[in-house]
Order: sequence, then C-alpha cells, then structure tokens
Amino acid sequence: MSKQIEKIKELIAKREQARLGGGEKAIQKQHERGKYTARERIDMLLDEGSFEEMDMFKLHRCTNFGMEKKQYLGDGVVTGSGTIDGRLVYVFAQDFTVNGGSLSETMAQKICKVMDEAVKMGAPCIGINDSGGARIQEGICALAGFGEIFERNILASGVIPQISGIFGPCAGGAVYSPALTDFTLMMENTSYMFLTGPKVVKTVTGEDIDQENLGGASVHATKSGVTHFTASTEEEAMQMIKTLLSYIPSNNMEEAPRKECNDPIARMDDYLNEIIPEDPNKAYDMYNVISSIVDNGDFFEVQPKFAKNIIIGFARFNGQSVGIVANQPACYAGVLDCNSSRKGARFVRFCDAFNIPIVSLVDVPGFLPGTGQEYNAVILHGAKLLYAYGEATVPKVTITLRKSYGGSHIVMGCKQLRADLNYAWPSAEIAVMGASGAVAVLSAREAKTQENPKEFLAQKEEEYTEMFANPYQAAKYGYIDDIIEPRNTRFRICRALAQLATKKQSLPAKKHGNIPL
Amino acid sequence: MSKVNNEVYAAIAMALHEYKGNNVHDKESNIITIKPVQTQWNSHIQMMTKRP
Repeated sequence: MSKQIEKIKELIAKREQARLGGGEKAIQKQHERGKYTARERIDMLLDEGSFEEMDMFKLHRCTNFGMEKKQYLGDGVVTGSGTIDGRLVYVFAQDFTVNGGSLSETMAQKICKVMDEAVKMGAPCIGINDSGGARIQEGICALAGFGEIFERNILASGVIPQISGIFGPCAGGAVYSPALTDFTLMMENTSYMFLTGPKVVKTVTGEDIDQENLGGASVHATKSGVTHFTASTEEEAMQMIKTLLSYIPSNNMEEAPRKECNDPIARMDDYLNEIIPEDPNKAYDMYNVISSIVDNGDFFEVQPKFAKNIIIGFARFNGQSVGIVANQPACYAGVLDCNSSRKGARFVRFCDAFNIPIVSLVDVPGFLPGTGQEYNAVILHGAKLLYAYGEATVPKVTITLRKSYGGSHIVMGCKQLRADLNYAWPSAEIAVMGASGAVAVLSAREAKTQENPKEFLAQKEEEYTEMFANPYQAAKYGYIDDIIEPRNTRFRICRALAQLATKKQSLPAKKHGNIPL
Repeated sequence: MSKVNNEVYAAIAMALHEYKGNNVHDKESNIITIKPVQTQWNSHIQMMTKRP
C-alpha cells in the first residue's frame, strides 16, 4: 500500500475520531438527556452537504491537572461554514460530550476564528451554546478566551446578524455572549442561563430556587426578556433560526432577501373597517390587524411572551421584509411601560442597523403610571424607544389606529422623529391626553360652580372629543400625511414602502450617540 | 316548495346594506407604478454614521 493511501486512511480515521467528540458513551448520555450532539445540530440547521468544518484537529495545550492526557480532536466545539437556504453562514456549536462543553482557550480561538471569518465575508454568525462554563483547569486562559469572544460580539454588532441558540447550560460569564448577540433562542426544559447558579444563590441570599425557575427558558421568555424565542424541540428551534434568517440580510450593506409575493397588494379586508370598537375603552386584538395586512398573514413574532402590551416581529409587504412594532390594546390597553419600551427599542435599533423598514401600528393611551414604573426608571426606558425611533434612518411608516396620547404619541414614531409617512385611521385620536383627563384639568374649577357638575363635565368631554379626539387636528398641522380607510391599509403600506425604497438619510458625524441605558 | 340558496339571501342582505349607504369607501388606485431601481443614491455605505 502506498504511503499516500496510508496517509489518506489516517486522515479518514482521524475524522471519524473527531466526529465522535467525547466518545460513544458521552453521545449516548447526551441523547438520553433528550439533546442532540453538536454535529447533529449543525446538520439539522444547515443545508444538506453544505457544512465545511474548520479546526477539526485542533487540540488544547493545557497541562494543568493532567489535562494533557485528556485530549479530544476539535476540543469541545465544532466550527465552520455552511449555507441556510443557499446563504452563507458561519456556525459554532459547543460540544457537551467533550469535558461538558467547558470553554478552553483553544475553543475560544476556534469560535473567534469563525466570528472573524463571518465579519470578513459579511455573513451571519450562529452560535449553539451547550456548555458547563469556563474550563477551570485552564484558569485565567479560559476567562481570556471569553473576553476575546465578547469583544468580537461587540465589534460584529450591527455589522452581521448574530444569533445564539441556548441548547443546554449557559452559566456565569458565558451568558454575556448570547446577551451581546442580536437574537437568543432557548430550549424549553433543557437549557438555562444565569450568572450564578442555585447553590451560590442559596449561600449568598438564602433563596431556595431551582435551575428552571432561576434561569430557564420560561423565566427568560416571560420575566426578564433575555431570550427572544423558545422552542420545545431542537428541530423546531433550528426551523425558527432558519425562518428568522429569511427575514434579515446577511450584513449591514445588504437588504433582506425579497420573497416572491402571491398576495395581491390591493387586497382589502372589510373587517378592518369594523375592528375598532364603538366604545373607546374597549379593547381589540392587534394581531388581527397585523395578520390582515401583511403578506399571507405571515408574522414572525419576536419575544411573544414578554411585555405583551407591545408586539414586535417580522413580516413582509409585497415580498419585502419589514419590522413591525405595534401596541396591543388587548394587554394593559396598550400602554407603554419599562419592559415594552426596551423591547421595542432594541428591535427598532436592530431593524435600523440592518436596513429593515419599520412599520408602526399605534394605539397607545400613554405610559403606565405608578411608583412601580417610576422607581424602575420608566423615564429612561421610554427615552430608549424615543431615541431608537429618532435615530433610525430606515424607512419608517406609522399608522395611528386609535389612541395616540401625550408622550407616547411622540415615542411611537411620530412625524417629528423623522418618520417618513404618517397615516391615521378615521378613528384615530391624536391628542395630549384623553377627554376625561383633559376636561378634569381644563374645566374642574368651572365645574364646581355649576348646578350639575357631572353633567357639565360630560358635556365638556363631548366637546373635547369632537374637537381633539380625531386625526384632523394633527392633519391640519401636517403631523399626519393622510387619513386612510382602514381596509386600504395594506395597499397604502405597500405603496409607501415602494416610495421609500430610495430613501437617503444619515446622522451627524459622531463617534456614537449616548442612548439612555 | 323550492329551497332558496343561502347565497341568494346573502346577496339580498348585501344589497340592502349597500342601499342603506353602508358601502361608502375611500377609493384607492390599488396599483403601484413606482418601478424599483438600482441606484447608488442611497447606497448603504454612504448612510453609515461618519466618524467625526
């Protein structure tokens, strides 16, 4: 047998060895936990046959605690490039079968390499996290490795889309990488994220809590807003990542891929003409509006379980990807608060960074009052959303459906924040405040002198409503560009986006702004 | 007695609805005549925030 053939056989053998990761037993244990291995996950995510692995034969160089005897080819992470729906992406998947996926200096180098390649090629970077944390045996080198990864997350932020999938543990400093990426997805029941685990929590604060309730998917999807998506199976998770990618471009110089549209732009839904209730205090479901106007009713919601009083997500109009921000009257009457403000702000900034037009559907009575909000800096969080809208230079189309009062009117993409086209439904009420609040301020003194103060105030409310609770006051000053029949909303948005396709707008030269954080 | 098709009832109801003036609509052209163009006018590199 020639030497060359022998060497090729050696290569094949090493590849087989590398593909086993931590070994057959470790793979079996991973499966028993209901989890796939790193390579299986990559195969599920990428187009068949597209994956080109890098650094398959890389080994760690640690000699502390006898680590030189524990070597696994690839050392705990699988990295490389491939395609999703024909689009180049870079991926890394931590391999829990190798030392519990613990991060070594070598692993960090591998991850940094794919991140560098992703930025060079202008392609999204997807990280699949399943790691026990830093490899303690490596000491400060593991920490340095994390630092290198975080710096690359920061430098790549706003340049290429970065998506993190949490498919297992992600604890301690490791959580910062997903937190720095654009979108995070967590697996229900098998993943968790926290800075300090239940044991340390118990020791320090005396609080008795388990992993799921401290940092599980449900906690981060509903309470903290750390995760944007959750999935119950890994197959579902991969499909969600693919769907997300279909709405966003590969880098900040491109636009999102356009999908062929078989939904007529002139499709009118008479239901919209009747969706606003007669009683201004009655709620309706904004999801019905969204599904009625977007292409084929397809709406990919982001953070659906967090701050439900605001709805954010991706959709298409005439095949073009847009970001939708909408108040939800069916939840807390659609008020803005700390959580909804920061939810909206981050999404608006992502859309702006990646050339995705923003369509805002407004029905907001104001900000949620109370010490609960004020002590949690609702002022700053509201300012975040205001800043995000004002800073965004992508096409911005705002449609006011019903209420748009006070500061929340300004915050939700008003004309003065350089929104390009502002439309209103005939039911829109654009005013400083609602009738009862306004009349209480304006006519309280006069009402005291009346024979029947209640009747007097009711009459004043009626007068105020007729004068201010309509879109024509705002239209009079040019703050609204047009008032549209609700059933025509889809067509008007499609045309608006066509008009705004060549929009050019930039910001004054600066190192960067100082968004209230 | 012949069974009247329910669609006939729907059509009658719709006609009455319109007769009563409930079918008032703000007419739109429903066509987009703007042709997409390839242009450097708003090329993304130009819209990056410039360093001071």
